[in-house]
Amino acid sequence: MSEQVAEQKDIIIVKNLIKRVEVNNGQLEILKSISLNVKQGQSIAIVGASGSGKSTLLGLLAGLDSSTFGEIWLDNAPLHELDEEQRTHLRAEKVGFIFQSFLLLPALTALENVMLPAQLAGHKDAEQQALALLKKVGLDHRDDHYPNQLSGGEQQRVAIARAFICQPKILFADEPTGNLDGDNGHRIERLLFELNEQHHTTLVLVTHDPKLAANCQRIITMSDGTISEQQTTNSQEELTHVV
Amino acid sequence: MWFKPAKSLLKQQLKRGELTIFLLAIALAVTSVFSLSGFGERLNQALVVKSSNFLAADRVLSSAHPIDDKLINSSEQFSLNKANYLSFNSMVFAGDEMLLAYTKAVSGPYPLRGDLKISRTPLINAPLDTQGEVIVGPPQQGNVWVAPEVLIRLQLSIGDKLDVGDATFTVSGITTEVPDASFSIFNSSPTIFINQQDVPATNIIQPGSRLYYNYLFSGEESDLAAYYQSIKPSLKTNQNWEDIKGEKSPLANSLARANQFLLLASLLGIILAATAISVTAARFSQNQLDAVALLKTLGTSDSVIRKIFTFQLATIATLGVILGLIAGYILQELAFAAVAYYMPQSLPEQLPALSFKPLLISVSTGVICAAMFSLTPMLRLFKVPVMRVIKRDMQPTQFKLWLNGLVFGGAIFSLLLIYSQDLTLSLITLCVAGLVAAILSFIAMGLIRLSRGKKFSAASPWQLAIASLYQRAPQASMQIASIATAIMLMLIILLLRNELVDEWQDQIPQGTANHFLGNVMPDQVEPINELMAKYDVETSDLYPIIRGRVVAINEDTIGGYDSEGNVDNERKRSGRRGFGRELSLTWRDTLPKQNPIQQGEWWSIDQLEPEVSIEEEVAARLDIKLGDVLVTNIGEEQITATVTSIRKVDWRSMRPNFFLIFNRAALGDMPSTYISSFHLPTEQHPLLNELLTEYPTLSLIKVDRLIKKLREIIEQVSLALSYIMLLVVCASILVLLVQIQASYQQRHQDLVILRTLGAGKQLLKQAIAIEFLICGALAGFTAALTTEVALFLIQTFVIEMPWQPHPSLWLLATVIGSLFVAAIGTRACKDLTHLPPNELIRNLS
Repeated sequence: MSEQVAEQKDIIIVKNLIKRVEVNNGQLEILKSISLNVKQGQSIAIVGASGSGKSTLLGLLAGLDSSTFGEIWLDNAPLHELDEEQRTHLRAEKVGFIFQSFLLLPALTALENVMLPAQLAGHKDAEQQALALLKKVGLDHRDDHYPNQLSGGEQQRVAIARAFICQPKILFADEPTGNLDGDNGHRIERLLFELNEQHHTTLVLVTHDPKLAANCQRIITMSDGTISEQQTTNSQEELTHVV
Repeated sequence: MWFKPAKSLLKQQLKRGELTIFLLAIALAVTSVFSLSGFGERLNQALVVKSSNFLAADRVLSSAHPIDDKLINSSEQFSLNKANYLSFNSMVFAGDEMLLAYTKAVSGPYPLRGDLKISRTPLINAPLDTQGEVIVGPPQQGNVWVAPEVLIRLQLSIGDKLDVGDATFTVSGITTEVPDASFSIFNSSPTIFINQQDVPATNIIQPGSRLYYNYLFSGEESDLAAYYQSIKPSLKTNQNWEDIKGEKSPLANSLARANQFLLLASLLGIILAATAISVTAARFSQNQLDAVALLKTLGTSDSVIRKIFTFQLATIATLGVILGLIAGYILQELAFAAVAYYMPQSLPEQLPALSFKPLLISVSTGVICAAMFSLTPMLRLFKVPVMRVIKRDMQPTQFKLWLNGLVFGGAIFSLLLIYSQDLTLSLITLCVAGLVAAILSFIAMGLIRLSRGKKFSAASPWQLAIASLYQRAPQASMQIASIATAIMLMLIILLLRNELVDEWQDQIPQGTANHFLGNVMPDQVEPINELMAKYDVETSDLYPIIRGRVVAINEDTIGGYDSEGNVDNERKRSGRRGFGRELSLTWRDTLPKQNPIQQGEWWSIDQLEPEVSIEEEVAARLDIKLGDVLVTNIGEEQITATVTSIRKVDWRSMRPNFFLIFNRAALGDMPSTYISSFHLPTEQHPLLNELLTEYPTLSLIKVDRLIKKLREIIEQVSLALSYIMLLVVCASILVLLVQIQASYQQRHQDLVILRTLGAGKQLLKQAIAIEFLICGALAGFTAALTTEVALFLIQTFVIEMPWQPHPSLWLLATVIGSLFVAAIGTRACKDLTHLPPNELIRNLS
């Protein structure tokens, strides 16, 4: 244990992570022994071709799925040892999400969608927090609108507000601008990095967009289940591990 | 050019399971209809064939005059079996003793249905129908078979001589079971059988003799109907074509009731199946929106698109119909085999075959369902805007609600009408369905207000459940409607079944009189009562019987018909319509049991003015009202009595029943004989011998066999209903699953979002369970409401049974509804709560 604890600033530690899935004629190895450390407050982009394993890695890091082999430490919690229910609690406490297709609950208003994670985590002042965040993303005047009454860009702003409400230590974003046009995409991009900075959140971003990736401090490129890293101009940190 | 892409699209969709549910829904509809109608039809035929024993044939053509042989023989062209007997009342003599006997002069293989049992040896002290052997055809010439009463009253034994008219016969057998024995206490001469070829020797047929020519037929239902159609134009008004259903007997009544009930249950099953098809058609069309938009983008013309999808639907419908027919055929065979296994005695030896009718009905059900229910979803699909390929949330315009309603209602109505061929029944069923729909939209609206009225908290499973229902308000209301329909069907079947069976059981409770005693002389009343008391047999009251004819109502003399029911022109000229025959009249001080007074009052014992009470149906038919005066001829006397009450009479009850009951002041002094009914257990049959030996002039009618048959019908119908219940429950579970399946994708997405955002498994499980509980409770409550209305309508207008409210039904339906739906819903959604959240990234991103 001592060696992991020693790296206090690493909020995500991945060791020899392997993910295999059953396919018709045997097993397919999607992730091939990946190791990776991410420091608190860092922004990291995972890029790569379709099918390279980006989303699988994101899912594992966020505790949405379990690995076949290897360790994942998320803010000192051994994700690989937790069962699904414990991982759910961990997500509610420490993790925020932004998805390409926004994934708002259509039954809830903008405000209710933003409040949702805070309520699930048992926060008392969920509504005030949600209103404040809606104001930050410029949608406070549309708090009672349902997702189908909002444009794509607006829906993603609601999703960003939702992602930050629990003040997560780590924010996972999967192609956050993938479904948006240029202007809206840039706006979301700015908002995302702004809030990330304000909340001092660690950002893990999966994207195809090289411009968006270039805004991150680190870029991890995935190819056939393995990763390689390149430093960006924004990088303030030293390259840690490359496998 | 369209066929190839259509074929490959269909292949892909079949592979992906897109059309599987639609296919299954059509197969389900066809299966239900085919098995229900096939089973119902065959069971009904079996009941009719078996009950036809009471006619000794499937049909009887009776006439007071001989019918042209050509007409009768033409039945051979229709592959019918035939026999006939000539019947007349005649005095028979044995030495110095004589007796009025009902003679049947038989020709051909009588009886065509049921068993005629003849004992060639003297009777022993055992139940009659356990003695003798089954015989078909008349006695040999010169021989006579006689009823046991004849032997006792004429003190004869086997081998003795009996004179009928001018001919002398040898008693060669005793009838121990006669299929078409009379159950009328008022026409109760014992029966003897002779060979028809002996009739001329008796010299009984003289001008003016009262004879009946009875021609018996048996065969396939369709052949009988065809034969009747061919001879109908040649029949005269007094020549009657009878079947067991047309008889005014308790048996015919029960048969008709059972028939209608089976029909009704099947109708409700059809609505259920139609609902499943409608839901899946809508879902299929929704799932195809992208494909159609893409095809349009690629330059496919509207007509080609229409052809592609019509081809897909037609292929699937055909497959569904074929699957449904196979499954339906197997199911109805199994059900019928179950009846044959559990109640072999109640089925005829030759089981009725399946006709083409169920096949036609079920195929048209499949075709109508596939065509009509997919009509509006398909039209909507064809209208999908091409822009959807870019903006995926673009939907084609929805059809107006009334148009959807019209198509759906029209389809259901045509199905009901095809199936029932009964306009009233179809209309009532449709109206009830419409009412359900209206109530449900109201509930759905209330639901929206309820869910929006409160402050939302995602931490509460209740609020998550309500939000989920709200999100799917239109689908949820449809879901509730379907479940409510299913619960309503189950409740109606359950309740009607219980009420029908209860009513039937009430009609023939344990200890129902199984013997009627007639022709009791006034001086025999006391000793017979004592004899009965000795054997501990309880009798009904003894009713005095006086024959009489109503000749005038108020000042108007009766005209119209003679005693045979034939038109009498001389009488027709004057006066109003009367009973048309001599009646059996009685008098009483007290109102008989189960003869509730509908109008007026029963007389007091000390009333000195002559009064009469009349049965309500005949009063209505002859337009007789309270205060009217009836003039009745009894022998040479004329009685004038005022109508002071109108009674309801249950003609199916095994009790002496009368159109007219007079008070003591009117008939008390008239000479009369008495009748009574009593229940005699089998082990006390020695009493009958003692009665008949002691009082040879008594008439005794046994109705054991009739009662046994009624019980059998009740048992069979109960079993049939259990089968239908089972089918309906299966169908409703399938409808529920189809509904859940339709919302599965959206639920999946919602749950994964919630799970990803940190909602615990328990919370989500609770939310799902609560959502289905609410759904089921609402459906149950609505079902209770509509069931109550439907029962009222059905009982009042269709099967004519008294209606009563069912308070416990409301609670029961709500509880059953919520538990049933929650159990199936949570089971069906079990996978959802077990899905790893990573599905979100994999599938939805």
